[in-house]
Amino acid sequence: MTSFSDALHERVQRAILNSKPEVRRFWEWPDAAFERLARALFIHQYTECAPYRRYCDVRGVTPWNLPSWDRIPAVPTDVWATLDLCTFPQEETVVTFQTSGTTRGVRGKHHLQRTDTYEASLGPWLDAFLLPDRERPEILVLAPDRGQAPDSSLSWMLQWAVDHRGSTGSRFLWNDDGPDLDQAMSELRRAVRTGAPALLMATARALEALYEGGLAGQRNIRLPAGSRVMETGGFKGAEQTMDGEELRVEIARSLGMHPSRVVSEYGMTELGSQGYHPVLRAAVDISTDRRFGRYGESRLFVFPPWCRVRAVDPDTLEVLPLGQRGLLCFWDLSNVDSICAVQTADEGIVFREGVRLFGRAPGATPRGCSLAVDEILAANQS
Amino acid sequence: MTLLRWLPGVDLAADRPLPRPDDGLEQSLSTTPEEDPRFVEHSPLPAAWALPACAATLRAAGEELRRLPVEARAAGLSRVARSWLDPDDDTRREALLRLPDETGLHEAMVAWGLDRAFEVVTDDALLAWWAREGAGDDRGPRLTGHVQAGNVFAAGVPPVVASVLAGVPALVKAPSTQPTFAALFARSFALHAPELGPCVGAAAWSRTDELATASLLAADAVYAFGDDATVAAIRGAAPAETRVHGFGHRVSAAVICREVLAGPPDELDVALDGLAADALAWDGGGCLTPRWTFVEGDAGEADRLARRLAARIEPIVNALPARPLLAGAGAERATWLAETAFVGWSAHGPGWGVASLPAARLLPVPPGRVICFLPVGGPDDVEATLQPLGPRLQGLAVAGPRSRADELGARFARMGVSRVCAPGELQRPPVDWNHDDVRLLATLR
Repeated sequence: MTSFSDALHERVQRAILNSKPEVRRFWEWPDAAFERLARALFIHQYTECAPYRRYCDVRGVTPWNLPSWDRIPAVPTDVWATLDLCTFPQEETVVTFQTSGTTRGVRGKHHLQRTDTYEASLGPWLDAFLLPDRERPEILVLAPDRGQAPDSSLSWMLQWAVDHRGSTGSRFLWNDDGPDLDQAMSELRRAVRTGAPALLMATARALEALYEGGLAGQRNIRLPAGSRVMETGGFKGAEQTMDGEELRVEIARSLGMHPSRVVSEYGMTELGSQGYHPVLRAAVDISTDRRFGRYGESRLFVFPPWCRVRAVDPDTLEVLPLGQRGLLCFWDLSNVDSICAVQTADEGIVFREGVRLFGRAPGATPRGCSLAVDEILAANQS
Repeated sequence: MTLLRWLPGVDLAADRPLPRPDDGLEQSLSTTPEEDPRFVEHSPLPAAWALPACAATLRAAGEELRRLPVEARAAGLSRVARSWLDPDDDTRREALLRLPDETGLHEAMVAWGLDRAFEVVTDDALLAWWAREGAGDDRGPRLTGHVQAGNVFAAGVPPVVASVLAGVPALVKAPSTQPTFAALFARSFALHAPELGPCVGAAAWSRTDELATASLLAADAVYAFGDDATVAAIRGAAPAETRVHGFGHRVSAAVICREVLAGPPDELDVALDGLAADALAWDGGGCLTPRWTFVEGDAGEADRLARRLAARIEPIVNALPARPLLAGAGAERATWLAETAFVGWSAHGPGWGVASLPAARLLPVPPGRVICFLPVGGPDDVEATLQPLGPRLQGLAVAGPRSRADELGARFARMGVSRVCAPGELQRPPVDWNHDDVRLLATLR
C-alpha cells in the first residue's frame, strides 16, 4: 500500500519533472500549485513529526487554520542541530546529512528516508545553471567524495554530479589532508593538453587554496573552451584573504575563462534544493539574460520553483514584501519527510526572480559586564 | 566617528599639553568647525599624549576639591545630576541625540537610563552615604581612574560620583565606540558645578592602546567595568601600587515565590510587570538583567505565568522601547524562540519575547529583552540550576514576602548576589549600592 509519504514523493517528483526549461513553470510555479503541494507537505509533517507539531501548536498554526504557504512555521537552522526533525522512525533513515557545525559547534542533522526526491530536485537545477549547453564535461572535484564524507550533503550532490553528469575521467581530488592541490594542478594541465572541457567543482576555501597554492602566477593554464567552475560553501567563518567576488574573478582569470563561467551555488544541509548564480545560463540563453540582467547575474541566486524564498523581519519574523532586506526563509518542497520551512541566519533581499545574498548575519555579541552566559557555562563545563 | 573628549588641562586645538596644568579647562566637545573653531579637524591628539597632562591637572585640582566641605561637594554633584534630569538641559539633549546611535538603544531607553542613573544622586542620599562610609581619616587615593563598559553606559556613574564626593578627581576611559556619555558627563561638572574645579576628565580609546591605558592606570585607584577578560587585563597591567576594583561578568535572576502564586492576581501582575521592566531595561544587556525567572511551582505554573505576561507586556514594551533588531540578533532570538517552543512555550513581538521551559535549566541561553520562566521546587533547585555559573550572580528580584527575600538574599550571597529587591526595582540601584560588595566610598578614604 502506498503511504501518504510515498504519494507526496511521487507528487513532488512529478511536479519537478514537469518543470522543464521549455515551459513557463520552469521559473515559477503558479501560486495555487505551490500552495496545494505545500499544504499537503505541512499536513504530513505536522501529523508525523511530533516535535514539529508541538512547535506549530505553540505558534498557533495548524493544517486547519493555515492561511497560506508562507505561514507554515519555519524552523531555524540552528534548531536542526538539537532535534531530530523527521516524519519517520529513526531506524528507517537511509542517510543523515550533517552540517559542519562551524557556527555553533553542534552539527545540524537532516535525516532522509529516501534520496530519490532529493536527487530529482538537484538534477534539473544543476543542469539548468551549470550545464545549460548540455555539455558533459570532465568533472574535477575539490571536495571529499561520498565515501570520504558520507554525511555531507555537498559530497552527496557532487558525487551525483560526477556519476550522472561527468564524462569518463571525472574524479574527486581530495586526500586525508584536504584538497589534493598537486593532483588538481596536474589534472588541470592534462585538461589543457587534451582539449576536453572540464567542470571544476569546489568549495570557496578549496578554490582559494588552489589559487594560492598553484594557480596564482601561472600563465600556461588555459582550460579548453566549454570549461566552467562551480564554487560553493562560502567561507564559513574561516580565515580568508579574498572575498567571493574577487575569488571568482581571479579563478576565472587564472584558468583563462570568462568570469561568467564561474558559477556560485548556495545550498545547505537542511535544504534539498540549491540556488545558483545564473551567469553561465545567461551567457548561453538570451531569455535568461533578459530575466536576470537588470540585477547583475552574478549577484542573484536563483532557486527552483519548488523552493520558495522570502525575507522575514528579524524582529517580528513576519514575511517582508519582495525587495526588502531581512533574514532568508525557505519553503522547500523537496523536503518531504523532514520540515519544508527553514529559517536561516543568512541576510538577503528576495526579488521575484531570485535572491541577493549578504551572508550570515553577524551575531549579537554580548558586551561589557553583562554575562556572556554560554561562554561561562562552556568554560565551567570544560 | 567624531572623537569626543573632555580633558581638563589639555589644549586639543594646539595639539599639545598646556604649559601649566592649572591653566583651566579646554573643551573639545563640539562636533563641527562651525560650532566651535577649536574643533580639531585633523588627526586629534592621541589619548596617550593627552592623558598625562590631564591627570596632572586633575591631581593638582584635587587639593582644592578636598578643601571644600563635603556638603559643597554633595551640592555640586546633586546639581550636576539635576541637570541631567532636566529635559531642557543642552547636555542631556546632546546625549539623547548621540547616544542612540552609539549604544544601539532607543532614545526613550537612553532617557530612561539617564533618569535612573541621576535621580538617585541627591544631596540627602550623598550625605547619608558619606556619613555611613566616608567619615574618618583621609588617606585615600588622590586620583581615580575609571574604565567604563559598553553595555550599560551609565553603570560607571556611581564610582565617579563617589570619587568626587570624596574629593578625589576622576579620569574616565570610555569605550572607543562610545565616547559621548563620558565626555558629556565630565563636561557637565564644568558647566553646572564650576566651584568643584576640574574634577572629571574623560576620553575614549581602544583597550589595545596600551600607552593610553598606562596613563589611566597611573591613578591611585581604578574602577573597571567590563567583561572578565578586560578586568583581568587591567589588573595585570596596573602597577603594584594602584588598587584595582573590578566589576566583571555578572548575571541576575528572579524568583516568584509560591506565596505570590497563591495570592491575589493583582499582586502577581505587579510582580510580572516589574519583572518585564527589569528584563527590558538596557535592552536586556545589563548585569542586573534577570536572565531567568524561577517559579516555585510546576511546569504548568511557569507556562501560565509566561502566557499571562505575554498578554500584558505591550504597555511595558512601549515604555521601554527598543530599536528594531538587527539581523544577527534577530536570528539568535528566532532560534531561541523556536528552541523554547519545541519543548515549552514561547511568544514574541517587536522588541520582546517570553517563554517557559518545562524544567529548570540554563540552556538555551536567553537573548536580550526576553523573559524566561523556569519551574522549580524551591531554593535548592534554584541554587542547583545556577551552580554552573559560579559566584557570578549580581542581583535577585524576589516576588514574595519580605522574609522570603531575606532568606533568598542570604542564601545566594555566597553566589555573589549583592542586590536583592522586588521585581521592577532591580535596575534601579541606589547610588550607594555596594556593587559586587565593594563599598565605594570606603575605598576612597
